Amino acid sequence: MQKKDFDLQLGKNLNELPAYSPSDFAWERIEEKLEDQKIVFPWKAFLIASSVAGFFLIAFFLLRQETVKIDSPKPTSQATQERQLPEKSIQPAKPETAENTTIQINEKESQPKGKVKKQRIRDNGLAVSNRPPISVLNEPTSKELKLDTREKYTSVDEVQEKTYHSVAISWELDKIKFQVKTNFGAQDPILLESTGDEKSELQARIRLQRKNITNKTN
Amino acid sequence: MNQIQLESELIERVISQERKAQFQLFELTKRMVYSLAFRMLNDEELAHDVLQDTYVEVFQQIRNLKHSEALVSWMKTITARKAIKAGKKLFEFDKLDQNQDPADNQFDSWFDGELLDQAIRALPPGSRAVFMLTAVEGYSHKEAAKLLGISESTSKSQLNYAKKLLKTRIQTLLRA
Repeated sequence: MQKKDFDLQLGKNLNELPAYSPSDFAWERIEEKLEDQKIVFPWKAFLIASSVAGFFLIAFFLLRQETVKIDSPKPTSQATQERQLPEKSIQPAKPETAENTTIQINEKESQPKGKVKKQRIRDNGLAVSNRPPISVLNEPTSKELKLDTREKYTSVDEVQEKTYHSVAISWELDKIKFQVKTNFGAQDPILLESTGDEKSELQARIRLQRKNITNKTN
Repeated sequence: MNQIQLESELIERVISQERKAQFQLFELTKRMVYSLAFRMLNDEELAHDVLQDTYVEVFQQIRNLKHSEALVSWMKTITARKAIKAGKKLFEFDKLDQNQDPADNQFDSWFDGELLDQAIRALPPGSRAVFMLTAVEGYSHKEAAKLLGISESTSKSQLNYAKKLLKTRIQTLLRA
């Protein structure tokens, strides 16, 4: 009866369960998978590494750009060379001093030394510009003005000699106001009203007289 | 199931990724791995997939194994995990009455391993998985419940249910 107990039989037969065999191609598949995993390029690691490297590169270039921006205002020898102005425009403005003569001599002797000297002058604070110097005439030009004939206005752009200052002058004749003074009578408003017609006649006469004057002058 | 004895030299060679040693280990353990997978899933194709994945993981992770003598049980655990993952949709655990009538241990006939195997394969997937892990492979209910993602009480009730079904199934097979 003991042998017929279910749990006992179960426990005994569990160790005697038949074993199943996999197919013959099982190992080949496993081997293939192992080979594939060997060959497989580590894309994940590569992508992470490349993204990190890219980030650092971008950061580096950005930082570099910022430093260039900061460094650009600093004066360098090349920058001063590029900024050199044509000598003709500078020379007339310079007074003939001992220092300038030495510069000219040095320029003839050796080019680099002269550049150094020029740079020193610029460092002293002299403002230099490309524009020609301002010519100030001592003679008053108002003498030449002809008030009778009005000349054609020429704009500043049309003027060949460019200066810093442009002046536009215009003129016109004021209306002549005649004031008639008479010796007769006082300026009584009542009298004036009564003599309104006579006054208008007088004004007309004066106007005629003025026309006659102008005709005579012409 | 007979215990498999593995030489430490063979394990060392497998750790050093020697292909011949890997094949030797496969030949020695393939029945054990495949049988466990096949009984848990009752599907040849799925069992082959589990076998393949198990050996790939074994050969890749064997260098991390601290105790080489635990290699066989480690391989069984990997197989069980892979089989559970492969048959997760199949495993359903019906709610069973906890206070079932204790099964009558009296059995009026004899049965062998072959018959028991047929009866096991006829079990519902959920209770079959619990039976395989606890009764065949020797996992505790706690371990089996953790592997299957169920409670310990469910594991116990599923085992009882499996035994009851096995008994009736074996009786039916014996009568046939």
